[in-house]
Amino acid sequence: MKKSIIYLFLLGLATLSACDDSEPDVEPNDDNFPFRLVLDAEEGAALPDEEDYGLEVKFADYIGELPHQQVNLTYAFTDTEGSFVDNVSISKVTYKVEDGDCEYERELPFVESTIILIVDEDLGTVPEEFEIEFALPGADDTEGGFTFEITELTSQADVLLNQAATFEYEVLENDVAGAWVLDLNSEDEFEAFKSVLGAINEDLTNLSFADITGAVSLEFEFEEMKIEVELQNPEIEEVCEEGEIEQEETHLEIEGEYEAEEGELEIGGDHIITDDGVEEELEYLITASYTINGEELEITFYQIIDEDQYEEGDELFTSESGITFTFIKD
Amino acid sequence: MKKILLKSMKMLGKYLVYGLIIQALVSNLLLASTTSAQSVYKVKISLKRKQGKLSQFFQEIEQQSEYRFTYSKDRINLQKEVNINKPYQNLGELLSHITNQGDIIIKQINYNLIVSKAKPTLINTRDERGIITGRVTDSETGDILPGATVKVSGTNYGAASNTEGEYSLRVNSGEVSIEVSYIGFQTVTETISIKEGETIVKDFTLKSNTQELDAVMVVGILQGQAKALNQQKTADNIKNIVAAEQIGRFPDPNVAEALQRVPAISVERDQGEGRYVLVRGLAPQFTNININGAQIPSPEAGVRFIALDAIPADQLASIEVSKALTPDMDGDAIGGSVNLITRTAKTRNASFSGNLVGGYNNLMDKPNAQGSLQYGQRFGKSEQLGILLNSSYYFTDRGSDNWERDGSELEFRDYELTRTRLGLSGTIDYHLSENSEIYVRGIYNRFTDREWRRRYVFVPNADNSPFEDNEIERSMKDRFESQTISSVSLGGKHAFPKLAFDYEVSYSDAQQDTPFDNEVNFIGKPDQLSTDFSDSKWPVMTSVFEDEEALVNGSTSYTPQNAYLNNNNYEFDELETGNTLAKDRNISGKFNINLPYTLANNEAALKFGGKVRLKDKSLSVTQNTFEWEGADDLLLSQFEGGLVDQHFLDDHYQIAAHADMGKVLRFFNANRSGFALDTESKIEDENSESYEAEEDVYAAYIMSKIQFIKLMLLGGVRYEHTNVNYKSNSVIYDEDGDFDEVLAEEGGTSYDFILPQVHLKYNLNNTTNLRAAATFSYARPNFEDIVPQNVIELREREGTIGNPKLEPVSAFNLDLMGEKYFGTIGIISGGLFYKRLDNFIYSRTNYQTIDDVTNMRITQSVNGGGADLVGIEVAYQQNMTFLPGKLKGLGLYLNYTYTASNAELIREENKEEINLPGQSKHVGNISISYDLGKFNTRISANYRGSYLQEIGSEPDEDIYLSERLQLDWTMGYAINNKFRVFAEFLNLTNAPFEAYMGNEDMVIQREFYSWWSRIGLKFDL
Repeated sequence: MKKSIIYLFLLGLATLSACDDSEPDVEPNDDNFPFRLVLDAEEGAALPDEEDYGLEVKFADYIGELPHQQVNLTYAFTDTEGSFVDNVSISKVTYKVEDGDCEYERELPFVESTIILIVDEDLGTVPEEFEIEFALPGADDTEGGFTFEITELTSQADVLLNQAATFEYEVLENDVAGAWVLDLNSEDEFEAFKSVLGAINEDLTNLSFADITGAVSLEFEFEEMKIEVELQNPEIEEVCEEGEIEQEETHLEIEGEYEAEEGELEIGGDHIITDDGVEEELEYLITASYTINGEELEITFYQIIDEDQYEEGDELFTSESGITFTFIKD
Repeated sequence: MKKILLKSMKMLGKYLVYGLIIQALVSNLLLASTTSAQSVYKVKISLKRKQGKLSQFFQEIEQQSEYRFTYSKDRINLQKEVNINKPYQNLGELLSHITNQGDIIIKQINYNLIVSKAKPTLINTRDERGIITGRVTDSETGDILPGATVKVSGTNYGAASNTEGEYSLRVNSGEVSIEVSYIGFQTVTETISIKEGETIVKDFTLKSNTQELDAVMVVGILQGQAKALNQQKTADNIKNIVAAEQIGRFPDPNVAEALQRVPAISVERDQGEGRYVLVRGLAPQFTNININGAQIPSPEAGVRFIALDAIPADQLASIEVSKALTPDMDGDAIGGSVNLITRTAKTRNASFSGNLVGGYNNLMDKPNAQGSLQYGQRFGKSEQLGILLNSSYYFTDRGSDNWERDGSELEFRDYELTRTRLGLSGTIDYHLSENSEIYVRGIYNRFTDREWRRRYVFVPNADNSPFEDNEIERSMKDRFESQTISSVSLGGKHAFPKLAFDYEVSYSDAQQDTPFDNEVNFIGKPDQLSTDFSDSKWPVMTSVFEDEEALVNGSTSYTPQNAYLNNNNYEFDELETGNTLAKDRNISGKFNINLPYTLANNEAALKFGGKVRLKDKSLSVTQNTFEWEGADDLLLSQFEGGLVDQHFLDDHYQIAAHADMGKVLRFFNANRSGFALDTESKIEDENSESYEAEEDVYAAYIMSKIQFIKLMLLGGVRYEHTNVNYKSNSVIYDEDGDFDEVLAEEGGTSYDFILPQVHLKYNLNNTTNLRAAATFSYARPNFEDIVPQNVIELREREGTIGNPKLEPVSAFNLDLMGEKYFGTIGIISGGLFYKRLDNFIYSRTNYQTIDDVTNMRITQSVNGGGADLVGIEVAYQQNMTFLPGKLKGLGLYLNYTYTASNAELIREENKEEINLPGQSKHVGNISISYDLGKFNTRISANYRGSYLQEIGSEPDEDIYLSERLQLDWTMGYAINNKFRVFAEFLNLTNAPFEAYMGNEDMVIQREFYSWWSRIGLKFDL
């Protein structure tokens, strides 16, 4: 009797012990971290007359040291349209290395369908990132686009090619695209300019008319825009490239992303504010409208808000009738 | 540290002086006589005189015996009045009564009785004594009776049987009358003849004197109550005992739940099951948990307290809760010290006991099961070898429905759990002789918890910010966690006429292993989303998806309002995978030496000992966060599966299927190249959380216990020295917000405590005790607070950092307690307690300068000022046998504790006073039982008032747990004396776990478990 109870109990215990459910339904393959090579963008565009365009390819954030073995990338141009049919190719593949304070550009070999990511002698590894430069038709009437795809990656190293390895290029047909300039000829014009864009740039607010030359440039590229206010006394920075030291001027810049459609323009980006001595980065949003008359681009600014100040009456800048600036095609 | 030392030394001095004064006041200073073969204890005598002068008694004794008194008239006051009201059997006892009142000592030399004046400080070790040892058992069932009073008749000198029912009593050689008493049993008196230096084994069997109770109650239940109360009555310090049989009276499968029935104890629950204990309104870190007197390491990372739901209650013979420490106990327990006592073999006859249980969880509509088996037997001619093996296994499918609030965010949580508890324990003991025993004890507990957590988080764009979207997060977590606690101890106990000593070495290991912890999150963006908490019990969520595509999923159509249930509307956000392993290992050794002596004819014992405990604790973390960078969007509908709760929160809300983790991980494995690892969060999580620490504790104590006629005085001091060393990391983010570096941190600290302890116990009569205690104790900081696991974000100007300078919390405790025990096995008791805590620890946010960056908002644990805690504790337990007819089957079990506290801290640079975290104003139990023959039933209510759980950076952010009342019902039927069936139903009223922030109207969490049950068979063969 007693023995039977023990046997029954042990049997029950063994059966129940199976119930602790200690195994996942599927074991994740997460104990190794292969390098992943990714394209920096999925799409891009440039003005019709651009003669080349650079696509950055890089290793995603990784742990440890980059591969010491060569990586071969097979690529293809597909879906070529318009001017790009049989008229697009890779002109060069380059990467940069730093030697001391100087930066040098080096080329990677490529053949008709393969880019070879070689081990750099100085780095001892393959480069962390490189740029593929496409040779474009470069004519004013260029139209259409193409798709560039890395189709295969082979290497003895543990490297994967990101699933999204396709880049789509098209001619930038946006009506505001291109470079524009504005001359701020008077202090009033400058104050008006400051009253708008000074809301998202403290340095601009702190400038006086005497600090600037009056020249303002505006550039709309693919999804991104930049305003540069030329300073009388720009910061000078020494830059060393290919062994040669050059002096570069740094003027005041405001950058953002934009959407321009049917006369409405929205610009968004980040700006830094100082709150009680603490710097904070906030998103801003500019609401404006535009009209294009020949070589003139007229932009009217209505409102600027940021993450902290967006409610009615609390905006960084607001004007019902708007403040208008007229830019000239550069 | 110096301050603590000085303060402790001052207090020590003060209490030693008090002790001496008390001794001087209460003692009759008589040194015991030396006896021989012509012992005065063998001479029968009976005086007519009951009252008179000392000289008159001397004269009458000389007339009736051959003994002659010798004394100096100058030194002895012969005119002193003496009253002999107590009975005496022989000349020795008569002289004892006389000397008690005459300020004299009498020494026998043949027929001469040398009388001299008593010298109060003289200590006389008893050389001419023997030992009577044995076991006290129930005559009917053979069960051991712990806590029995075994004493020399007519005196207050005696001992109490231990948890094994064993006692050991040193007595003068000659004929000794021994009296054994036990609440609920008839007192037994036997005369034993013992020679000098001899050890006699004498077992006592007691017969229940509660025939009336026997008629209405099951014997085992009575025994449980009796055992607990007898141990409590005979204990030197203020403690509560819960015997195994008593645990069985309540539906409490784990140790935490068994403890919630004890006065002044409440529990913190996890998924409806008791987990952590809070003693006398103090948070879990203030209570020390031991197995058979050895501290248990904590399997959890960073803390010291133990999740007691890991230990099945049926592993234990009893649970002791000491509310006032004695010097031979570890000093790091301010709330109390819980000792879990495992079983040992009792008799030559093999015993098998256990249970088979099945149950049901109403919320999950799933079964649970439990089985346990215990075998015990003693072997050998004189039963020298005892073997006991115990195993138990508990399996339950549980769950909970929960909503939580964070500002305007509303979260639904649907939990599905599978939990198991495996307990294995064994004791092998070997009696080398009647007074010597060696033993090895082992215990292994494994608690596993598989959890699937399905969440909806509604994050409305409450401010209508153009920079934010309305979001609904849908996450699914699949995690397995096991907690193992194992311990093996090897020790011995040896008693000799002149001394007793015991020693033990033990190895304990605790681990919390989370081999996988995976969570996937998807996000949907409704066009409109709002939450409304005006009904604080059931908040309202309203969402609208306007896009027509959002309203369709295959052939299923949704309205804009219920399209939040459409899994096509949720895109993949991130997948987290990881594992952690927390380890805590203790190696300890201790010894205790007990030297009996007499002080002014009062039995006393000097005890001293030492202890070393070496601890290694560590945590390793692996944490991966993956984002999807593949070509196509991933939708929740591609991965949906698993359990769908069709009646979530009792149909107040509707939820849809969540992700099936199996599908997600299969996709992940097959598409690894599309998933990007977040390397920064990996580096931060793994480096900031992982640590290694060593903590070595060296302790020594000395104490003395003196039993006067009615008063027991126990006093002494304990010294503890602690060394802590650690290795951890700081993770630094630079001023651009980018990950900068990981800095290795290494350091240590040490501290000392001198802890004086004084206990008084006054026996008003055989059933009534008055107790008082003044004790010092402390609580070490948690490792997670002291180890510098720092995360510094310079750009954000914020960080969390450890505090290696954190000092332990020190405490002074005062306790008063009165207890009246009933012969029908019951008690009424009441007491007051006061605790003064210094260096109270709390989490504080302030502004500091780090790396030349000013105004950094830093959160770290710091020492606060003092805290006071005062409380009243009352308990009543009675079998109503005095009621007429069948009403005598009624029984009551009531206890109530009131506490109030006041702690000083600095918050936002302001000094504030708050209640101590963990302190409920009201805690109590009401349990009404009815026993009729073989049937018994009991309904029990456990109440815990609201308390502060977490201190926020400002008062409005303080988080409180709301009051909770749980109602349980149990019933049983004894088929015969070997088999009993029972049924238990828990949480009958579906009491929720509820939390609020700042004030009671701001409810931030409500979690429901519904009711669950267990039905089974218990056997004892």
